[in-house]
Amino acid sequence: MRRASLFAPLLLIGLGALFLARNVYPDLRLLDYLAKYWPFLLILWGVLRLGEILYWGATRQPFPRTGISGGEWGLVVLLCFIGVTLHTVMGFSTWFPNRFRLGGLDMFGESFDYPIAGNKPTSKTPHVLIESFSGNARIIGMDSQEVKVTGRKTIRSLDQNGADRANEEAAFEITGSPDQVVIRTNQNRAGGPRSVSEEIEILVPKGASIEAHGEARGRSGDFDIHDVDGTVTITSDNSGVRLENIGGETRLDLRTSDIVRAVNLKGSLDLKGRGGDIDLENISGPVSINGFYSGMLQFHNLSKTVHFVGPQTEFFAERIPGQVRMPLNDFTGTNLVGPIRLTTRSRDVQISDFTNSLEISADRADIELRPGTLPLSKIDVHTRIAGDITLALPAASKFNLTASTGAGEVEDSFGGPVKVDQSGRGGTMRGSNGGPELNLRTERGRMTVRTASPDEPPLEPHDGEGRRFKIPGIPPVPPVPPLPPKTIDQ
Amino acid sequence: MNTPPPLPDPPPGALMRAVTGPLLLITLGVLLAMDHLGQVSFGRTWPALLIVFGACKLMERVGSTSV
Repeated sequence: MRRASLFAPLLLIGLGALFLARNVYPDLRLLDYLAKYWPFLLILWGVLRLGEILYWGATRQPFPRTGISGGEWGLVVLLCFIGVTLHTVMGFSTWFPNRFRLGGLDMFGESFDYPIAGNKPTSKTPHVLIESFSGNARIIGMDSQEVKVTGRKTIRSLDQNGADRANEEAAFEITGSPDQVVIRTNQNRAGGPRSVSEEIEILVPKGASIEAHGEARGRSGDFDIHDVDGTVTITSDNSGVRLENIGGETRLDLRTSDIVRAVNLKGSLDLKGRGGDIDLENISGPVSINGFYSGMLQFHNLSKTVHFVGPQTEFFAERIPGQVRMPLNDFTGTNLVGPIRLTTRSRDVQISDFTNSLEISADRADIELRPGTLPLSKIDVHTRIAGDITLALPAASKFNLTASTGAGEVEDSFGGPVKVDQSGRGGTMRGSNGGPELNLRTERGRMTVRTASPDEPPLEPHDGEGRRFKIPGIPPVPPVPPLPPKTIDQ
Repeated sequence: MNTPPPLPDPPPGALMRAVTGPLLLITLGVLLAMDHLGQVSFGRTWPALLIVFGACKLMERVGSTSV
């Protein structure tokens, strides 16, 4: 026996009342409330249904076969879809990637553009502060003594009046003193569901220092900074960052970032946060990276210490004259200067052509090492759970080798002083001709020591299918096109 | 079997079975509300749905075998 639930009629009454309220008080931010509090509809529905069922049970009426029928679950799914969509387009969350959001936003209003322009004379080395910014900013150092801002502000709103109001609320300001310029976009002042984003180009004196605070509100904005000799500091909830030719120290604190790309930095780089790809090239200062990055990490030609700390991997190197590439499950390095330390849970490791000491500790990883240049230095490798270890040594190497596996084969094709002792499930290789200690140990896996041939190709990172990784070129933020002169409303 | 009462007891487990849907719905609502209002993302809390569903199914079994 099925009885109609109370919820459907109540939902209809509630929705009717809400929309009626909106018609009577047009200023009521109905969609705002709905976007935020819609999950309580689900709770209300569940509680009502639960009450009904318990009531039926208490009055000895037969239960329905299921508490919520298939059709009602369909309605729940629809409600969730609408709720989450609303929540996302109102800018509360980042459930969908940006590209879907733009499509969603189009359903809820139009976009209105307003021009932005301003300038301020400054000293030669001003500190430029950009406050609570959302959108794309392109900052370029020039031989000048002024800060000049051009661009446009895009406001999404249901009507022109709302957009005009938001434009006034989020008025653009450029203030401060010649040494301390403040660029304020006031986007967070535009309340309600209207979203404001800006595309601006800021020309600054070459000696300027940049400090930018991104205000994401679920939206991603990119910072693109070129030719600045001062320090660069960016904090943002969600931004891609591209830096080129920066003279001072760089500090990036990004809660989310799809890409961080830095080329030709004279100072240090300090990067914190979570994100996707990192691409660093020609950095003269020390590099420190702390956070979780799920994309491809590439380091080329870093001339001071490099320290990477992730949730499962820690890596330190004295210098990287060559390159390191780290897709999610792999570590490949070529031409590194030690001391090198690498701790990882499960990245497979391949390192070729390294000097000075090397220390690798892994839980479960295949490791392939090719020191390349002589004389060798101390090498210490240990896989705590399992993994194959391969060491390819130049023919004239001097070393004191101890290589063992707890369970697995040992294979020596180097010969010379190396003696193989396969006993029980595992085995050990030992041999010394008066060089540094090479200690290799795997708990389970194959242990191989072989002679490296001088013309082996450098190691390349691989994913599961053996394909070569390649990051597609990331297009920079395009220059802001000029805006047609604004016509005065008639 | 004696003469059945005019309104028999519902079969064991039926209460739990009927209550599973609403409980899941309430859990879903609470998790989404936490996501929208607080800092706990639904992406982290969704396994609670599985736990609630599993617990309900378990209670259903326990109810129907012990009576």
